[in-house]
Amino acid sequence: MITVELGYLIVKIILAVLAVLFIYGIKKNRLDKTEIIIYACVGISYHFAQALLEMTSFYTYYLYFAACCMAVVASSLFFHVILRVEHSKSVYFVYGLLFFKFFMYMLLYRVRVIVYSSDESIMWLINTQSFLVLLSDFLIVLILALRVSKWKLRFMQFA
Amino acid sequence: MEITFYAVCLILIAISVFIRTQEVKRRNESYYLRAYFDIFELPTLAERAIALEQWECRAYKQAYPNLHNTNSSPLTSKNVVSIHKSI
Repeated sequence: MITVELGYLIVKIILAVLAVLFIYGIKKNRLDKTEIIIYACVGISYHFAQALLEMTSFYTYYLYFAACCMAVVASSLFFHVILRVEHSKSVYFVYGLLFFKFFMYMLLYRVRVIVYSSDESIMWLINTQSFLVLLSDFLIVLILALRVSKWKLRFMQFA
Repeated sequence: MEITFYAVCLILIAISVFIRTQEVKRRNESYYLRAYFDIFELPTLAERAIALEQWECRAYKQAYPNLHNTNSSPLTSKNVVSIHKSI
């Protein structure tokens, strides 16, 4: 089971790793413009999400995180269009993970906040959602790590 | 409230699919241009001539897909308007 404290600790570690990899990637010139845009959006949004977490209540908690996922995608699309930068495949993969996270948050919002009044009967769903959301975050950082390092996966190349 | 979130999500998915479609289209258009310039990096003149003929066939097929689909005769270097032949 993932406790709340452990979940926040994992998120903080993921954020720290993301920031370190992002700065390292820029310093070593290993990130394209498209990846700089998406990871800057992800990093800023996640840091703001953690900083403004106390403003949320039980009823707005999941909506808030779902909105953060959408904000990352929207801002990234906006900057890609404005700066006329072409997306790479890895960025679309990150979009997919963010959409997946969005639907997981909305699912739990619907089930936990609206349908059920107690957590006991849906503990398995809450744990599964936490695991999948953290796994998505981990995969986003893993893609950045692979891009920054010299290893490259085939799907991450430009088509 | 919830409906608004789903609507925004659908709009973003639609925008990203549209952008992806445009990018793929642009990339396909520039593919034949890149292939054309690659021909001139081949070492011998004979190889360049063969590669240019093949490029013209592929480019013709790409430029006129409907014409190519309705054309009963197979597409060869003989029935394609060729820069290579006119030189």
